[in-house]
Amino acid sequence: MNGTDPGTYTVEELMATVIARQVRDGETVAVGTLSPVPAAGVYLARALHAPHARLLVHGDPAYPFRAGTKEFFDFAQKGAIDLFFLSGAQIDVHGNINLHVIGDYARPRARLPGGAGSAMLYAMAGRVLLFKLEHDRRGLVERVDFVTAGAETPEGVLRRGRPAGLVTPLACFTYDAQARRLRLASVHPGVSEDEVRAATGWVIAEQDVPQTPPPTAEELRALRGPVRELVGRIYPQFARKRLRPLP
Amino acid sequence: MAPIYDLDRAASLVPDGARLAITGQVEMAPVAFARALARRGVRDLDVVVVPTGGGIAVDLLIGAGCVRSVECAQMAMGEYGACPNFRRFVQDGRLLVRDHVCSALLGALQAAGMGLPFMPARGIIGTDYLRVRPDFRVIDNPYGGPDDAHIVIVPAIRPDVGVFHAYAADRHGNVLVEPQQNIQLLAAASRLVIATAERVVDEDLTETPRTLPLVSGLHIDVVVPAPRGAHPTGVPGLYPADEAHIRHYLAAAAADDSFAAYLDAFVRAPGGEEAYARRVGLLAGHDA
Repeated sequence: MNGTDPGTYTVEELMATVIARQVRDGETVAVGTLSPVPAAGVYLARALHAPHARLLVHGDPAYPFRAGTKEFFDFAQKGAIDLFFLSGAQIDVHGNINLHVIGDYARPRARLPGGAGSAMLYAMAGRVLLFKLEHDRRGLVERVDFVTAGAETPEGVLRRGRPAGLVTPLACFTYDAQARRLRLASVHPGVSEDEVRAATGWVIAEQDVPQTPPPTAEELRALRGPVRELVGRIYPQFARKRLRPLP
Repeated sequence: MAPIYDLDRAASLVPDGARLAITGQVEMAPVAFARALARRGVRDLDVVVVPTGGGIAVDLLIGAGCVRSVECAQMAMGEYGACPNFRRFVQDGRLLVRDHVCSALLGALQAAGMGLPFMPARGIIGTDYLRVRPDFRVIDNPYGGPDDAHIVIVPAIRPDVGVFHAYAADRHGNVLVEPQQNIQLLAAASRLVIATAERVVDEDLTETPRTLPLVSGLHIDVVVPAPRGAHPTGVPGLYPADEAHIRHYLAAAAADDSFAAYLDAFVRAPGGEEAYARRVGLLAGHDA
């Protein structure tokens, strides 16, 4: 399911708002390739509660690094990124992501582009917020077919961060580090728990979770004004179609 | 001095079975050089995709039957989505992939450029990379405490040939390059380095004021004049990506038959790059 726009805001505007609320003032936040919703989220955070956040948004004309993508990966590998965003063709209940293959690795049903830097970034960013632009049983699974990047590492291996949760068009999940499982934390306005259960490939035990707080008028004004303009410099189509203009 | 070769002569420097490093995804990719390699019919290349690369140049070589394996952290076409030949050839069991991680792959190139045999890399432990890359080893960190006791090492990557597309080159082989493409790493790591360039200038680029990164001619072996040599990818500030052509490419690369027709029309047709320029001008709906 893709989630429906409730009329007053788009589902992407809601997801960007959820993402923005994860950003803390003063921290260093990076957004990778093909991530328009996280880009909108971090710009929104900087416009509102996190004016001192340092943003590294891939494709932004103001992107500061000029010494190859290695400069970014070195910066991340030494632990200088506080918050990063990852998605996957599959995400499992344990917070693992798969960007490699559907089916068997040696003879896949579908070969995907690959993991880029995620196998390092997931371990070395302070927090990683997972996001998925579709919420269905194909993509949210009990166990990924290939662990491109994992939520945990064995003992004795340096790791900075853990998942900060998962946001989809239907719901928000938090990561339970004890149980090593994603847990349903809230459902978006207009979505029922049963719909989320039906669209999720693992058994959701949580019940009677709260509703995701919808975007406030202030958040929508920022999203549709300055944020829409900033996102439009990288993702013009997305900004035009999925962030509404100010009246 | 770096000798100045034309595309076909430079392409003849890449032997069958070579390990070829290449960069540029949908921006500043050395696609004219890839077409020259495909025209020559080179075989069994082991391609190293230097991040962030792996777009149309590598996909074209795969579809033309030039590639035995691809070592990459990602094979994609930016906002255009997947690389169709890559996807199809892997799914059909016709292409070996050696999956890598951006940070570790760049480290492996750096190791080669420093004359070192391997590079440690963070993360990776706990993922399936270790299952499919037996050459990635987990070692005891001789300098680490209990929280940092084990770490992955990856072997240095020393390509036989490295190729990239530059804004400009001078007669010493100095080049002005795109800032995100890790050209210095690619050039330092590779045994033979070929730079295709939008223009070759008479002045010494090291003595010219510049805003673009310069890579020293000490790393560069051959310069190839290749105006519009990135087409159908774009060169920022000079020409945009040819979206219509890229979409045509993506559709053609969905199947063997249609891609063979693409190669006949745009790559193997008589007249080489000159004919290509005329042909794509027509396709894009304006005069060449």
